[in-house]
Amino acid sequence: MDSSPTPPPAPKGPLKSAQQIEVDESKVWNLWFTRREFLTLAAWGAFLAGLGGSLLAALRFFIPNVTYDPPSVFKIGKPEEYAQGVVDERWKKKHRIWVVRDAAALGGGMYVIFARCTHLGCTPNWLEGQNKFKCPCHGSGFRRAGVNFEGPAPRPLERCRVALAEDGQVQVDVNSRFKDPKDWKRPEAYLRV
Amino acid sequence: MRRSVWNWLFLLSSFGLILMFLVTVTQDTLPEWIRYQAEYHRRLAQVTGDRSKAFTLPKVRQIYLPEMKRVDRCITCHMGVDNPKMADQPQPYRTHPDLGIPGFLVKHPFNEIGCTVCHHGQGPATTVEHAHGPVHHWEEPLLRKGLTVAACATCHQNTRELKGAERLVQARALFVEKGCIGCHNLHGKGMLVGPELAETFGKSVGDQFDFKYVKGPHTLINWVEEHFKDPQAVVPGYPKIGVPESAMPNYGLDDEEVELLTALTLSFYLEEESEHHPIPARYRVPGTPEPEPTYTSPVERGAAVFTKLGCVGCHGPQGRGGIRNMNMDLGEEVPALTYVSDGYSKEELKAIIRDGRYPARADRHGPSPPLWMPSWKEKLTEEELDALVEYLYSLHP
Amino acid sequence: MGKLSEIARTIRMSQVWRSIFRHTYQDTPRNRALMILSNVFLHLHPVKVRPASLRFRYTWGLGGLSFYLFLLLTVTGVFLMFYYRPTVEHAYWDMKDLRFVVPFGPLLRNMHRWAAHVMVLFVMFHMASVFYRSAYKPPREYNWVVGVVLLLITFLLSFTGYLLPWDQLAIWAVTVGTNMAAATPVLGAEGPFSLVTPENDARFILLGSKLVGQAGLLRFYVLHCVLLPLAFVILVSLHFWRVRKDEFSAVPLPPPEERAKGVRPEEWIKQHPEVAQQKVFTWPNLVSREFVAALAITAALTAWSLLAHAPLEELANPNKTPNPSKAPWYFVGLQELLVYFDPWIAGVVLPTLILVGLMAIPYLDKNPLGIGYYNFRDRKFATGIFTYGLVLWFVLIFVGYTMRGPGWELYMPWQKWDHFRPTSQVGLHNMPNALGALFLLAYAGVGFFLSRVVLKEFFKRLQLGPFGQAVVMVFVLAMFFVPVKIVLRNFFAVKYIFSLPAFNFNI
Repeated sequence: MDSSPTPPPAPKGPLKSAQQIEVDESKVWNLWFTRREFLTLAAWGAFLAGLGGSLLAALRFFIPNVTYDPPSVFKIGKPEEYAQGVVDERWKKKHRIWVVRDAAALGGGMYVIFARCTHLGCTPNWLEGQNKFKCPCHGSGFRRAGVNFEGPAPRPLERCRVALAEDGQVQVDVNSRFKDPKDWKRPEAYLRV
Repeated sequence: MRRSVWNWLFLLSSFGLILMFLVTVTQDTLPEWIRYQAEYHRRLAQVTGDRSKAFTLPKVRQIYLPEMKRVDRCITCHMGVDNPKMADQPQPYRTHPDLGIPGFLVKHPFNEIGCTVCHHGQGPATTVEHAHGPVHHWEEPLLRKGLTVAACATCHQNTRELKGAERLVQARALFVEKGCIGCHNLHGKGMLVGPELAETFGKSVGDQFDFKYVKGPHTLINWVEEHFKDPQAVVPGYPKIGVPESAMPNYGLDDEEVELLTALTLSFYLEEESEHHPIPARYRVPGTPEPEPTYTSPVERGAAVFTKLGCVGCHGPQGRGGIRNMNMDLGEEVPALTYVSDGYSKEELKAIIRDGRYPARADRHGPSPPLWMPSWKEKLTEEELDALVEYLYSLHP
Repeated sequence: MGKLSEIARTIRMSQVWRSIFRHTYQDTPRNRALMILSNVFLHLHPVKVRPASLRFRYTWGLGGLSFYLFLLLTVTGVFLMFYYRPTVEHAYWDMKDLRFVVPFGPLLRNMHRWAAHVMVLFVMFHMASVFYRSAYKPPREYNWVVGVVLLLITFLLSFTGYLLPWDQLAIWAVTVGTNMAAATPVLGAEGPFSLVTPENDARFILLGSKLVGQAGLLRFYVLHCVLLPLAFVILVSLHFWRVRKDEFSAVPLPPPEERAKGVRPEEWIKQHPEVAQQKVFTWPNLVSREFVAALAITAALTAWSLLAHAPLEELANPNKTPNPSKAPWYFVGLQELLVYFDPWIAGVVLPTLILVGLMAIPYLDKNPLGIGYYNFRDRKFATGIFTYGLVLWFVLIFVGYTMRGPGWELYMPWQKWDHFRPTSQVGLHNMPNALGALFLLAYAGVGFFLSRVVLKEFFKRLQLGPFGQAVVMVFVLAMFFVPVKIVLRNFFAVKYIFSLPAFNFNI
């Protein structure tokens, strides 16, 4: 597989078959493609790699590094400002959360429920008279603790991460939420006050 | 299809299109408001004696207030609002009244305030039906005369001493007298039996209000007024899903009182900050705090506390009782307070007021009683508590 | 009069005129050919067509009208773009301006809205029409696939446009739709086996944010006005090109007395090959019909636009969820399915199966009969399954659109919506997983039994190997799983047949 540009000199005498021509094995690189083929493959490979990379870059382009959504961590006041046994709706409009305080008999602890139905994301309403959260989109119903018991909602309402800030106020992070009731006992999801 | 069908279709479609084109051109060049403008110019010419004024080209007029996110096209028809010569004309040609308040019109220039911030209605609209309403999907129809005073609260935090807002002061007195704050909460303060009053007029007409028993148009104003007149008729309850009848007492209000209270409730909503219709800070007029009243005796002070906290809402005027509390184990009515001095020592009374009390159900399978004695310890100082107990003792005839 | 014709002649003989118009307009056969051949817009048509292609009741003009509606939507859309700003501050109020102060604004906006709905309807009917006349069978399989992609693009065009008015209808319909994207398996933060977070899942990419807000509005605007129309134009060009290259499918029909005897067009053409060779000029025969059809639909749309205003509800408010919140009508069938299936099934798996299933039809249907005319009796299986799917789709749309009220409860058309009706969604229970797994296996078993025993001869006739049979049965089983679940839910109060809550995987 000679890729030299100049043809070999005309043989003197009858042509020998390839098996009769003596070849010094140590001087031949026994590759299974030519230089031309290698370079062609490399060039196309580079082109495709570039194209593929551009495609990935294009996909990454659509994921912004910042959004202009309102900030997600905020303080909601001191625990004493929330009555026991009450589902408090004062932050529902501004932050889309309910602040629930267990009745004294249950320990009086606090948790924050994110007001987004786990079915398709509509905002449920707290129906005091019926002691439940009710979603207007498809009729999902949730108990006070957030557990779903009627309608198409597949899982309970989520709880937001809560913490006690240095100034004694309750700090909520709406973007960090706990879906599984198993996680609700954790101190990040339930403030014992 | 046969050839003749195609031919007919061609004829019909072509002539149809030409016809409809003419219709749409007519609709566009002769809109409803042109009549009003033409009539206005005619009347203006008559009033001023200047014939040339009768022939002015019709044009949509608007007041654009980007800071308030409003555009008001009311002046397309209401051309005479700023022309004093048109004071005797019928609407929509009439000058804007000055309400008998000197300086009112100067302090509320049209090109800075617009119209809808006080009168509501649909500013961007250019037809009577859509501008005034009520129309579907515009939840702020034009306010009638008796309710416009509510809009003062949008900018004015000083309605207590504001000339022209006297009806709001009257309404507030009625509000305190009836003890509404005893059941409802307002701007986050008060009781949780009834809904937050500042949100009433921010709710969605379509989904959050039941008009089954309400006559008249499906507007929030109409619902609220009917509800004031007879709460149980408008909210009779749905036992099947556990929704009880309205716990709001029927106060036997007359039409004037109903309108006052409706205007007041609307003002509660309007005085809150709104992302939807912001008010620039410089438009706001701050209020002055109410002066601290002086009391000649602890009983008088106690009476003031009794009113301020809305005890009237559940225990009735002077603690006379008479307010229903359904399915309560102690009986069908909230206990009257007239004879508390017989049954409770002052310390016992203070404890109940501080800690509250949840009544049990008379019928276990019925709904929970809507009213309960809340804990007031955060809302009362010790002196106020003492005064209140003195007042309660004084109720014994 | 003479002077006028003199002037006209001079103009027509001038260099300017002749450089633009390369032939005269006398009605000669040569000119009829040249009208098509020498016109950039018309030369997609062949110069002559078979008379069968002109039959209105063959295509009902649905494909051509769908394209015409696209053009109408582009024109009205471009006009609207001069007054509409895709920002949260302005979008809604610009819609109000279009309604009240823009000259001919109401007509343009209404026409745009109603034409969009009609186009979605027409492309669905066009697809059904192509199916029923076997115009997807070889060599036209790929064009059918392109058509399905065009159907998807049409849905997406309508969906992205739906958000732009920024009213309550818009924002909540898009909330419902994009939350289904979040339910995508693997790539959706709330789907089963999720590998992503809400900050980088499929829904985030669609909306550019976790909320439906300014970023989403801008993205949908660009998708609606630029990206999707571009994709549509490229694919529709390919679609037309293929129609030309593969020859328009219409075959000449036998005369009525032969048809009554049951003679098939295929046989008739074999006996009378000259019939297939008869042709007429496209100009004027086909073009005139296209023109009148376009005119008629324009007239109808204009009339409707003058009589009925496109809806504009209250300003979008993320804090107020209307009850009920409905997706646009062409997606409300899927929303109805949400009563019976989790979002990842109803919103992702089933639509994917529908699209893939549709695309697979030409490759699974080996029945050579019926190409170019409506044939139901020789293709009962295909017609039956397709019709069942089509009817199910529209029944779901009908139920979701007209019979669902607050809380997504069922309301008969004569019942008034009542926000205080007791919910019917109580007492639901899940099948124990062991039983559920058994049920699903039994269901698959039924499919296996059907394909290997009952339909054995049928599949053999169709030359479908075991893989082809399996594919067909998977789709058929999936299609019939929907009513099975509906029955289980409504009559046996079963919520999930098989449930793995830890993985968010529920069937």
